[in-house]
Formats: sequence, structure tokens, C-alpha cells
Amino acid sequence: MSATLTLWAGELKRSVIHMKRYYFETLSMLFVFFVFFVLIFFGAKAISGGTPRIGGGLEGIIVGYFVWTMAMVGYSDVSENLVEEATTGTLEQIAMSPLGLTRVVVGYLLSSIITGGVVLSVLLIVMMAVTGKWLNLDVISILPLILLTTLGIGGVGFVMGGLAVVFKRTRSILNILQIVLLAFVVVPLDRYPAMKYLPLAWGNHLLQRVMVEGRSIFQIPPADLGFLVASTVAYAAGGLMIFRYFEKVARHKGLLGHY
Amino acid sequence: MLADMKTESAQSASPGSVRSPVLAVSDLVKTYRSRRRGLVNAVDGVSFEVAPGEVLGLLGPNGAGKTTTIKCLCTLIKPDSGSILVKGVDGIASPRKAVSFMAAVLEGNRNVYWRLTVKENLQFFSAVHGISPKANAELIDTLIQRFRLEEVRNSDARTLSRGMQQKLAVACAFVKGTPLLMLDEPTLGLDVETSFELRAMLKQMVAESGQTILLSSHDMDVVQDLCERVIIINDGRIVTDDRVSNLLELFKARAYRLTLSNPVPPALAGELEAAFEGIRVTSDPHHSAIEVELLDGGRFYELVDLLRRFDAEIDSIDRADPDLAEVFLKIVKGETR
Repeated sequence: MSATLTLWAGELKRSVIHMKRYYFETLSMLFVFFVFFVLIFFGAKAISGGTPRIGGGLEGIIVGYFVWTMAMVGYSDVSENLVEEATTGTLEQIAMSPLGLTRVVVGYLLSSIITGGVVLSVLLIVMMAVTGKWLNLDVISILPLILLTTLGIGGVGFVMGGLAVVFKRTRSILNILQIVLLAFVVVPLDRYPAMKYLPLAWGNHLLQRVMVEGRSIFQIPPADLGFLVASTVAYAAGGLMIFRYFEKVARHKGLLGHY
Repeated sequence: MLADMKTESAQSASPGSVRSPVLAVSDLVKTYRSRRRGLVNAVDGVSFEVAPGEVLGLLGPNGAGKTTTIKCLCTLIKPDSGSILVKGVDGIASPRKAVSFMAAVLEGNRNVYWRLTVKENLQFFSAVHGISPKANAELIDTLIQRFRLEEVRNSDARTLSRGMQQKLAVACAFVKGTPLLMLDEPTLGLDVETSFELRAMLKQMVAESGQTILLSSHDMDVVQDLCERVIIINDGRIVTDDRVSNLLELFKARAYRLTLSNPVPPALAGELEAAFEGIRVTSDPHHSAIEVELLDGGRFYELVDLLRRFDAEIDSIDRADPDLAEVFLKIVKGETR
């Protein structure tokens, strides 16, 4: 286990170095996220005359957007890292880790969630300041919920990353899926309850209750929390299993190196 | 630190198997389905062993199957059939255990992260192998010194010259401290000077650490310089597996070229042609030459005696020394064996 922690610590360090040394890229990402948010938020406000019927109103948009940006980090970092490493050739190096490629990509996801979480918390504060809507920032309640939600979406990232390694030109699908994921946090669950089986939707729903309605995680019914845990495990584990299948195909066909 | 590595890899071999091979490959086969060329037998029944501490060269023209062979050994490509034993561990059934004994520098890859510094790359690849960079700090420093990367230790890899990047890639393979190292075309694309420098560094590292190395190259000089034994591979098959010195010896076709300061009398030419098969005599008033290949070194004196009888004045005697490049070409073209 300690070897795995060594690996993950190494990956986290790399992630932090990238974020700090290439801070301009970090800032531009934040800026783009922010501009996109401003358009959505004030657009929704203008159309609905102040009280949009989506999710939890304007506050709901902030929460949903925060969840979506976290999902982008979990989903895109994993898949895009794999694409990039396959292109440059470092994928073959990490595929030779005695700890296995699976643990390496789980490390990607974990370090992205940690570094992304720090950066996006800043964005969250900025969004609240700009809109003047201050949400319930109960860290003890928010942290486990956002972590579970992002880990689940990481499973989708594993699948897309595996696809990219085997089928190569999948970047356009990656991009389209980002927008599809946005829909998952916008559609109201009370009207379409079956949507809760989709990734992100249920986590977003629970986070709305905490951040908008001001509840604590201890006030959320255990069955609801249990469903979040179950869907996270299902998506993450399912995603990893599919990823491992693609890894097997790639090793069989010799695709880890040729891009 | 390097001395520690040596004892560690020696100890980890099971008792009584000190000379058992670090790597044993048998009947390796890999066939690809290519859209353009149909079925391609990239590797077609390759078998060989590498003894501990040996530096084995894998030589072959482009597309001969060197890289596919190495990637199969690195578990990056799963062979169709055959077996791979790395320190006795089945590389196909237990790839993760097998790769824990090896590190590789692969051809055509960056191998290192451009956005990390030299030191950060070494630390990262140590962690990828499950070795804490802190615990490995001494080796990391040693490698930075050995590969003369001190001045750029805190520079991003992307800012380094091609040669420096390649040295870093090799250092990142050494940082894992594995008993077996695979270097696929380590000097490809480097200028002559840097290639020499990297070769010298590799020699020193091998001498100090006692690591076993499988090195592929299409550059004969590199193999001749670093390896004791060489496998020549062509069309996915091993055509030769021998010590470099034996191969050179074999082809020491003792070729001599003598120049004479006076013309060769026809009688001498006749006697020479009768005595030495394949001899070439060119004669003109100012410059005469005799070219002959002697398989038996003793016949050289016969030749000289004959020249003395005719009072021929010898200007110069040259002997052509073969290099591995010629040997390689002859073998690949099927001129021998």
C-alpha cells in the first residue's frame, strides 16, 4: 500500500507543480469558466425575470455550475491526460509501473480532484461575490458530497480515456460529452426522477439541499446518501473495469505507443 | 548507493541460481494485422537468454522487429505465443511483477515530462516505480552528476537540448534501480559527439552498477562499443547470436593490399595467380598493386617469399580490419551461414 501512496503523492506533486508553474493556464481556465458562468447566470436571470424555474433558482445555478466545473476537472483531466501521454509517449513509461496503469489513472483522478478543488473553490467564492448570492458553505457537509460526485464522474473519464487510447481520434466526443454533462446538473430531478441514475445528477441534487436549502449532511436521509455512495461506486468501478478492458486491448494490439 | 544496488540485485536471486539468466525469451511470436500489408510477422520465433551483468546488443535494420521484441519484453505488447521469464517471473502471466525488475527507454518517445524539471522527472519516475523520491535522493543526485545534468537540474525538460533530454530519459530508467534495463535506440537522433558522450556514461554506469542491459540499435558503432554479445535480428527472426569479438574474428577475412614500386613481371603474375586463388594483380610502369584475401595467416610469408624471388620492391602493405557494420551487412544480406 505504501508504494501506491508513494505513486499518488508523486502524481499529486506533479499536478501541483503544473498548476503553480503554469499559473497562467490555470488562470485562463478559471477565467473561461467564469465568463461562461456569467453568461449562463445573467442570461437565465434576464429570461426568467429574476426567478428561473431551473433547479433551485439562481442559487441553484451557482451550485450546479460548481458541480459541473468539478466534474470537468475529474472527467477531462483523466481522459485528456491519457490522450496527451499517449501522444507524447510517456504513457508507455507509466504503463510499465509495477503498480499497474489502473492505480496510475486513479492517482490522476485523485490529484485532479484535490488541485481542481482548491482552484474551483476560489471560483465558487468569486461567483457568489459577483452575484451577491451567498450560499451555505458548510465544509463538513459539502466535502464528502462533492468528493463522491466527482469520483463517480471520474468513472466516465476512465471510459473516455480508455476509448481514446484504443480508437485515437475521440477528442470531439470528449468535448461534446462536456456539454452533455452540463445538462445533467440542470434538469430538475423532481420532474424527471429517473435522471438520478445518471452521473452527477444525484450528487448535484444533494449539494443543492446543503448549499441552497442550508441543510447539514446529517439531515439528509441515509437512504439518499446511500444512493449517492452506491452510484459513485458503480460509476467509478464500472468505469475502471471498462478502462482495464481497453488497456488489455491496447496491450494486445500494441496501441499504447502509437498515436 | 550504486554499490548497494549491485548487492541488492545479486541477493534477490534465489540461492544456487546466481548464473541463471535475468531474462529468458523463448519462441516469441507477434503477428499484426496491418491494413496496408495484411498480416505482418513482426516477431517470428525469437529465443535468447541474457545473463546477469551482461550487455546484450540487439541489432537489425529498421522494421526488423527489434522494437516489437523489446515492447513485448516490457509487457507493453502482449505476444501471441512464446514465453518470457524475467528473473524467473513469467512476464506474460504476471506482467506487473515482471516489470518491477525492469526499466526502459523507448525509441521515438519523449520518455520524460516536458513540464517537469530534470530533478522532478527523476523524482516522479522513482515514485512511478513505487520508490519514495526521498528514500531515493542519493541515487537521484548521483545520476544528475553522472549524466552531467547538474547545471540544468532545475530546468524544465522541454528547454533542454535533444541530447540532454535523452540523457535525462536514460537517467530516469536508472533511477528505478532495476536489475534489467532496456534501451531501444538510445543514441538515435543524437549528434556524434553527444552519442559518444552518452555511450561513455552508459559504460561507466554499467561498470559501477552491474545492471543487465538489453540495448537495441541500428548503429553498429554503438553496439560494438557497449556490448559483449550481439543478436542480429532480421524479418522478425534471429539470424545470429554470438559474441561481438567472435563475429569480428569470423570476418577478419585477412585482406591485404600490397603496392610495389616497379612493374610486376608477367612470370611473377603467373605464379601468383597460380598460387593464390582470387588474387588481383594490377601492373603499370609506375604503380603496381596486389590484392589478396588470405584465410590462413601463414600464407602471407609464402606471398612475401615469392615476391623476394622476383626482387619485387614492396612499397606498402595494408590490412583491412573489418568493423561490425560490414559484418552486419554481410549477415543480413545472407552472405554467411
